[in-house]
Amino acid sequence: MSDKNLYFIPIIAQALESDDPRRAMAEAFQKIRSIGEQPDYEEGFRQFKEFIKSALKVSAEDSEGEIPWLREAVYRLIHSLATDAFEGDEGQQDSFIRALINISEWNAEYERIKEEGEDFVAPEIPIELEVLKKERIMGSVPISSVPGFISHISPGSYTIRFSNGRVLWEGEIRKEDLIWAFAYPEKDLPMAAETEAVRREPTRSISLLDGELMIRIFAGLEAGVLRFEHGKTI
Amino acid sequence: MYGKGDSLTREEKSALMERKSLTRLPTVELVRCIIDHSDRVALNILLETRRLFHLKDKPPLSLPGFLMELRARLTSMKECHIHDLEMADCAYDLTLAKYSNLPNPTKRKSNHHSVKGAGIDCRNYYRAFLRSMQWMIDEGKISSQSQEESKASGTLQNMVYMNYLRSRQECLRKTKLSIRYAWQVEGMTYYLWYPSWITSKEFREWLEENVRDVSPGDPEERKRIQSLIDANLGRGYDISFDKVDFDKNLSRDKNLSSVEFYERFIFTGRLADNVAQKKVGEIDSLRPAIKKLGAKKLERLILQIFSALAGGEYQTSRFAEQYGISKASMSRFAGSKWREKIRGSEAVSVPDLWKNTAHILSGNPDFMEMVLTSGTLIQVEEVLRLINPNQGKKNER
Repeated sequence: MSDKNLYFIPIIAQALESDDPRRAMAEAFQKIRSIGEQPDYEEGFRQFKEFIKSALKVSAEDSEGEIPWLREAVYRLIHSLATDAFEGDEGQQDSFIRALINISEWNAEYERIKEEGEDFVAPEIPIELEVLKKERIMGSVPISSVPGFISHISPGSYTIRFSNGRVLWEGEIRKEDLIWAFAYPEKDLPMAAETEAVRREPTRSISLLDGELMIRIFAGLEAGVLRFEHGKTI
Repeated sequence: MYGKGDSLTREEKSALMERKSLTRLPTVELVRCIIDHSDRVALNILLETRRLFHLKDKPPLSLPGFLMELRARLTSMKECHIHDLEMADCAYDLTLAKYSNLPNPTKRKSNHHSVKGAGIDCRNYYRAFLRSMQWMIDEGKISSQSQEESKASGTLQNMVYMNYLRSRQECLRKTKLSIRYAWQVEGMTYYLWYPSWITSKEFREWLEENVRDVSPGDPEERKRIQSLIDANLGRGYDISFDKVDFDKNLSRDKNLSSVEFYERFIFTGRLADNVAQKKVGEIDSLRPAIKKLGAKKLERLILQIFSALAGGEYQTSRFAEQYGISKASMSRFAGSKWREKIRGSEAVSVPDLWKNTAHILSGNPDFMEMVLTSGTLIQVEEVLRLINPNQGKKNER
């Protein structure tokens, strides 16, 4: 069949119709390569290489040697590398970086873009647990510091959320959970109750994230304590 | 006593409940709702309430807040030119659109030639985020929900920053490019370039008003007119949309925002349509055998060729017969065998139609990125040496 020589055209055309063109194009190239390994499609794959050359050539001819589209594609790749958002595999990434750093002008440009982005490219993002009462933050505990506690908790409606805004729990924390006299009407308040609250039995436990984290509530003289603990891991 | 909740209708209550349940979703699931269900409420929650972005010594920021910081960076330079302000606004708008524009499914696209070009679709950008997160999940790099949130923040922040850099590049191109215009005067056609900030109508009026005493016999006349334009209107990159056949589409819809304008050539679907439009547009310069078909027949032929290729039934001889073209002409136009032996040595000649197809694809960033990272298909280093990164910079102001 003659169209074996042009098998790559409909594959590329189809990729352009995709809802996810970037991924579709990557898959298209993979498919073209894999089909091209079959003996019947050898010539077609050779023509695909000529087709690519043609695309590069016309890009170069577009504007008296300025090569804007090609230049743009190179910048797009540099931007993805400099922001750690490159989507290809490690082999692709390595071979492109190798080519880039071998050319001093491009290497300088790559370093410049990386340096420019130092403040904006995210390192490990710290997540905290925030306790809010009527939209006011009463305290927070970094996940890295769990187990940790927040004291001076008075009865009312509370929201527990991650510092990124994801709500983990909303509800009432009652005086029976927080105030010793209501929690244990029959018992006297031990000495140093406020500071030692977390050493005693909690009045209530709340499970967060399917048990990944736990809140233990402890009663005190005038206010209580929320203690965050690790539960089971997912 | 009636609380606020009691005065709500059933629909309002249900909407409130839906919103509340979405606020509890992991960021990855929220994004999945946007992609899978085009969920606008989920998108609003992501943009308004999730503070996923972190900068040193600043509280966590929402996506628009992060973009404002990036914008501020561009305009905080000592010598902030009006051009920098425009660029900063353009990059901000464009990046925000990349993460907030959900196409309206009920609104008909105004132009059948640009299937994906009727506006930015944020789902395309969120898909990249989801892919990256899914990869980390599949690779076992995430062991808790809090870690997942931390990774989601980092991944999205890097991607948004990457797209901000790209937007800046795209805005620069948009503000600086020149468009080709065919001016017919005194029985001559002059192909001239004009900056993209004026419309073709304004440009024609400017020409009629400012370029007098045209000398059709002078071979240097085009150069003289172009110098006048450059001196008075300025000039940017010589990128012609008509070369890749986008201006035809763009000119049909004068109400395009800068964002849509850009998007129309980022997500250019319908390869066959674009190639057909291009060939029809330059019909006068085609080989006589093809030119004589006329615009309509030529368009039909090209669409049929693409369709036959997709169906695995492309035979040049059949098309040659159907359209009354010689086999040799058909082969030169859209042949499938590009290699031939001439006087004992092998020569490769890419037929016109496929050259044009390659040309159109060279304007597609996804295609070009794949070419550059394809490893064995090209010598990347050789290609990079062709392009000087500093060459473009001199035009940036």
